[in-house]
Amino acid sequence: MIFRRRQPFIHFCLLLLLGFFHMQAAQATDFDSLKRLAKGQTVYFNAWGGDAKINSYISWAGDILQQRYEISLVHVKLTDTASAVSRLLAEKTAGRDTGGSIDLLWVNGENFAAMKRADLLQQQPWVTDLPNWQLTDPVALPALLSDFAEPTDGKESPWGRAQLVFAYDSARLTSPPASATALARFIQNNPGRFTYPQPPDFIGISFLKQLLIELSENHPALYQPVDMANFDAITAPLWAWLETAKPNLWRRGGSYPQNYTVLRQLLGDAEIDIAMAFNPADASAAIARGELPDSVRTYIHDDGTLANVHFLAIPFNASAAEAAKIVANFMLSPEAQIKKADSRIWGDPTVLSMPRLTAEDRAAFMALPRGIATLSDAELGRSLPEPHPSWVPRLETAWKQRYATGG
Amino acid sequence: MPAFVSPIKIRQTSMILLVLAVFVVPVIVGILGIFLPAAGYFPALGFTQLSTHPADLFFSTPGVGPAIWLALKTGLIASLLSLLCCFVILTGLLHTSGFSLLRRALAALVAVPHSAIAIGLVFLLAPSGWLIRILSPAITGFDRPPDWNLVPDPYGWGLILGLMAKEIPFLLMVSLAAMATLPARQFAQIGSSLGYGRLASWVVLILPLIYRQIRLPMIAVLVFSLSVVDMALLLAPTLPPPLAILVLHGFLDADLAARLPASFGAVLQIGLAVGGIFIWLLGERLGRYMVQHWRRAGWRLRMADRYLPAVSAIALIPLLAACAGLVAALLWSVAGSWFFPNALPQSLQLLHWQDIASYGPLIRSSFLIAATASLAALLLVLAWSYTALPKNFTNRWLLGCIFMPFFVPQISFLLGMQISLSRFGLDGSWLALIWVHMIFILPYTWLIVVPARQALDSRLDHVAATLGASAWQRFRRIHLPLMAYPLGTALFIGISVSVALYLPTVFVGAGRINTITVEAVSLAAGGSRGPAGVAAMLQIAIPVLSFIMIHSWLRFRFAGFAGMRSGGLQ
Repeated sequence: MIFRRRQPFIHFCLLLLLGFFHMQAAQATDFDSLKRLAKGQTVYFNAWGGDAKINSYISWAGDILQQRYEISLVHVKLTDTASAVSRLLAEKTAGRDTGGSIDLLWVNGENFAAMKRADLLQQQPWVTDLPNWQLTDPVALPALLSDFAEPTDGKESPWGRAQLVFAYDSARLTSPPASATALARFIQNNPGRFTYPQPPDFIGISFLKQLLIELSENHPALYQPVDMANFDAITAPLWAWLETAKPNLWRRGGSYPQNYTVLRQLLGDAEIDIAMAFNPADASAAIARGELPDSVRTYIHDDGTLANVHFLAIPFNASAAEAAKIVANFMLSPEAQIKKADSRIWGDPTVLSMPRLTAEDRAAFMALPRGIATLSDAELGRSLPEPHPSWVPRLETAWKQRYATGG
Repeated sequence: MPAFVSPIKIRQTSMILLVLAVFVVPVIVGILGIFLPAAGYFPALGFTQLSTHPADLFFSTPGVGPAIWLALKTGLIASLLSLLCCFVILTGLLHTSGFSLLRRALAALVAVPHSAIAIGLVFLLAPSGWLIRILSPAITGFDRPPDWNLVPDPYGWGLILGLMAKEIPFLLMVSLAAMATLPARQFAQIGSSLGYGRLASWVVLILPLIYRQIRLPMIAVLVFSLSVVDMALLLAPTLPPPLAILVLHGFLDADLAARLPASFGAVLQIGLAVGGIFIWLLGERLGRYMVQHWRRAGWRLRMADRYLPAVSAIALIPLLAACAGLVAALLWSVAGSWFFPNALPQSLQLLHWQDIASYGPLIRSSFLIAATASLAALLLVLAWSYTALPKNFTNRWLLGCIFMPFFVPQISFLLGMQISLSRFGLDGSWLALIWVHMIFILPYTWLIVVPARQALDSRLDHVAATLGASAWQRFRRIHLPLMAYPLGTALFIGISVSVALYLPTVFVGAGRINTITVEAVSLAAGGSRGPAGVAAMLQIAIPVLSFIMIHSWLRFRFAGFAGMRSGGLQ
């Protein structure tokens, strides 16, 4: 009797063991069969296309994917990722559940949250099945699983890390202002030499969030869904800051650059003194290309700056979901990540975990030139988590109501 | 039901049906596509009740009032100044020694896409632009760019200048074509024999006659200027932008419901065009009154002629600025480092040009769309001109449909078309994109091919027929050689028009099919000067290479008919 009663338990254990082996095998074979299915597919990769060096990195990846997997990668260059989300929404409302126009999307934050809300992502989680996912460490980098506090649910694959950094020309400016209040003083004393990208630009909004975190002394409500009842109270210091700064902004706040690449160009032209980017190596790469003078350096604020991870997501109706997964896996490979982290190419920090890499790959990462203007990892250590994504549209609307009418 | 239907009748009916299908259906689809959402009806999003909600939402957009005013102001001023400059140049420079050179330059400028001109003007006129670099620090004393509100300036002068640089050559070409039928020289002689100066003879005698003939192209210029998008993205202020850009933003918004107010904006854009035309017609009356007054007063104004050369030189400024801007774009495309205030790049490199392989797909798709669409337009117009009754060439409704793209703001018609196309999953398809390009090319093809066809000497036909040549043989052996040059011109103009199209490609290409023009605008908007310079040069290269190819082929194939040609490529 006892024996009989134990049998289910042993069966269970055996099954578990079997299942484990099976899963291991299945993962490899699944990926092989994925490769077979993906062969010959075309992946329409919708990714912001405003930076030439990112575009040429993507076209490099496209060449390799073509050679190795016979996948043709088409970079659909977006000016605003939100437009891709709206396209997906249009396809969903039109009942186009297969054969969609987007196979892979570069996304994070508010846009990912919007996709999740509207069920625009793949039904099944797929990211942890990617072989190269094993090279990441979500315990050490929790942002891999939570995108602006929104759980990724295995539906977007990490691609790179970002942190807001400021750039200045050390030949003109000796000690850059390293806090919101110091920046306000700087603007007062140097009229016409500071500006920020016009919201709803991603970096422009990020700059507003950075100010808001600093000025509200990291208000805990920022990490909760926005509550309109106290929105005005919490954001009041931000609007006061902007109001004081406006008359002394570049072009007296009557006009703003449309994105950070234009902002960088303005720094190169010496029209302004401070630029910003979400990529710590951006300034170094621009120096290498001759767009910024080699006296440009970067810095972050004393309290730290916003940091996040950016991802690749596959929409619910992707025409080439199999090939899109192969692309996501390749983008997560040490080969692609090393190339991407090279400041001469793009300089986007890796999402891979150093201890999980082979010694050879680790050495390759270490050997990368950091670039003359790039801060060390230790200097970049002070980072601020992103506020809840629901703050973004509110800040955007409030900014527009104040400043979009001109004058 | 008649027992016998003549084959000619069948052919004509089918041609009319074809034109209806190609032109009228998209018009209806496009217009319905915006009027329904504008009135609150958008079933795909669950809006099934007509309401004024979209209107309310649109009017509550921050800055909508100034945006409308900006569009109206820049559109009217740009059109008026373009017309004035065109007339000043004609009055001051026609029949002078340099005019044939100017005429060639004009033909070239007409083929340069709007966005390439805009890119060049930004490179030239921004506070850190080439002009101030040349003057600094020696003359201005600037070692850093001044914090001046230049390009984009809050008043839209940059946009006005850009529009003028494109519209003056166009109006001049149209005026010169119109003057082919006017004995302008004799009029000028009559004027001077009556003691009128050159200026007075032109204003009183010749310009009113030219204007009467270029009235429709002028209105087309006005509608275009009131709703321009690609130039405005680079040259217009952004707080707020002109109305058309506001509509574009609504269309690109992540929130699909934003398309309802955007559709209302597109309807409003039509209203703005109608309002603009109304103001223009009032202006015409004023102009007519002034000319009549001048005639009655009999002002000879011979003294004024002395200033004509200087004034015409001023009128050439927009064109010179456009050319200088294109040189600046060329410089940026080969520049390594080029920091303020250096007048020339500190180092030259071909880095940006080495990337040309990555432009390959864009060049290919631009060329493919341009060539296919202009060939299709050419074939359609030829077929039409061979089957329709002559009275159909003057049928107001049909002409209205064909010239519709000239008189309906692009953004209004395309927004509705995109909404409808995406319902059927046709947006982003080559077929739809080539179709839309063809709709925009066809009016130009029509304007060139139909007169050429009508000018054919029918006696040649009769002779050939009596010699036993079939209709096809007559077409191939007589008509084709005679019309070769106009047909080649039509093909070339079609390719230039197609390459320059920005908004139709953005809306219907849906991001999946891109052209070099879309890429050039986004690179320039992203501040990547080197790559934008390369893209602008490539934008110009496609029409130029097409011109060379078409021209040399015509020379090779139809050289023997050179003496017989009637107009066409100069």
